[in-house]
Amino acid sequence: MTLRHVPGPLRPHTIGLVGQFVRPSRSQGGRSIGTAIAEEITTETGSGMLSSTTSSVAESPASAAFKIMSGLILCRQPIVTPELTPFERAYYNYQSELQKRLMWTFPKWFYYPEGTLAERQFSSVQPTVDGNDRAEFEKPDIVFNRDRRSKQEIVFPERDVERETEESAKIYAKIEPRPRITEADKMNDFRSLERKLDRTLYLLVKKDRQANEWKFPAAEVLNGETLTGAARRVLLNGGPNMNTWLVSNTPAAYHHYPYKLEDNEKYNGAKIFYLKSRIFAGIFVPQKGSGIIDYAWLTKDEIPDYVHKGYWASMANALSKQ
Amino acid sequence: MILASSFLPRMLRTRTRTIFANGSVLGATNAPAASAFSPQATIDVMACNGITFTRGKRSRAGGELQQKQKIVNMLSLISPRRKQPRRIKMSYEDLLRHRTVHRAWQLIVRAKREERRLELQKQYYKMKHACDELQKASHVLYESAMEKPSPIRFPMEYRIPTLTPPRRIWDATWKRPAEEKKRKRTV
Repeated sequence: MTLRHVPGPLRPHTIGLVGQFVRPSRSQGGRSIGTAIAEEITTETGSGMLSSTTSSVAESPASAAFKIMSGLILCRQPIVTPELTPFERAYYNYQSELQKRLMWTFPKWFYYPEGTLAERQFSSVQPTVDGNDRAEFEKPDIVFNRDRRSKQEIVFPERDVERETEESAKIYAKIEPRPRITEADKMNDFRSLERKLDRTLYLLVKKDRQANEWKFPAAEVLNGETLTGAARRVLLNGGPNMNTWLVSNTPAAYHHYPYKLEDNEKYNGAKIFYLKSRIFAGIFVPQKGSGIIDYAWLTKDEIPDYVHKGYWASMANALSKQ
Repeated sequence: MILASSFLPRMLRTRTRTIFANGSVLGATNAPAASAFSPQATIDVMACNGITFTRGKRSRAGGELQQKQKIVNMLSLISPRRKQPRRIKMSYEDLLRHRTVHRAWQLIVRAKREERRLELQKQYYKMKHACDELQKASHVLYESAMEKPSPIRFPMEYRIPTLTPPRRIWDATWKRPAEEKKRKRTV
């Protein structure tokens, strides 16, 4: 499948079209379906602004120089499992009840051996199973004091505090699970890594600019450096005390934008290749000289409120919803 | 030998045999076959509730018997023998409810699976697009980006999400360890 090359000035009907990147044609045959999908996906939320900027980048002569930059999509993976919907909760409850009905009879002979005092106490506390109960439409089927037509009800004897030793008291120590909603959630602390434990948090940094302040951190790839090397330099902007892991040397996302002629004489625009990385411990501390004045750890839903629309169109599909 | 008939297919099985502590078999005409597990020490645990267990003298044989008894007990707990539940019989209305719930669940699972598949597809093509652009931009950088570690190594700190968070949710005080000095090579 090939995309037609649309030469010349920007046509009005191409503005705002989804997936219509204007590119200089190449001699090496047609593009694959994959590239076409990639472009469509890239400009999912393409605005008129975006199309005009990208077309001007593409239409510039082949000798145009672009500043190649390496960016970092640093994320903190979820710490807790995803939230259950009410239906899921109800379904799991239903399945638990079914399993209790199908569960085998409690092996009293193993835990409370016959002839012991504990067994006598345990048995005395158990509810009597009514053999004449004809509420269910099946015949009563009682084996080892358990009605097999329904789930078994076990009652544990009350705790004998007088006779308790230090060791036996340990059995009754309650396990209290920690709450899934943390202090950071309540305070809405966007700089904290303990917020939104069930979601992935992505690092966004704020640079001192008039527009396009919030971005994923990036730096220019210097001579002789690789993308990975530049990404490591980007990480240092957040201080040395971050336990991170670079997922791969391969870029996960690509964003490009043109420079205004007045600003930069050397380059026509910038091309940023983003690498994915994960943080396991430590905190991001903006270093002096990095140009970073603020930072935030945000979920995928929160990022569009901070970043420029065209930028988000480039980055959105590389991120994970959960 | 726990129960001789346990490991045979149902068709070939005669009937379960109860073996007493002194080695005699309930209803057997021949003497039981000797095996490494000492048949004299095994008893049918499920039948224990009804049968009086003849306690042996305090001897080495007695100790062995108790040990083997414990093993038999544990194995009977783990095995699925005699644990077949009663079949659930639902009324027609209950059956309809069950089927509706099941179908709704299948739909939800399918939707989730599809959503995940689409997300991965988008991520893949995003990556592909980025690599294509990189190849056009700089061949050198492209080659270095294509280097993949073989096999892929994950860090030790990688954690699977749990239902509730740990006591210490995030280690904010992590410090980069000092670089180890290179050891002097000895011949």
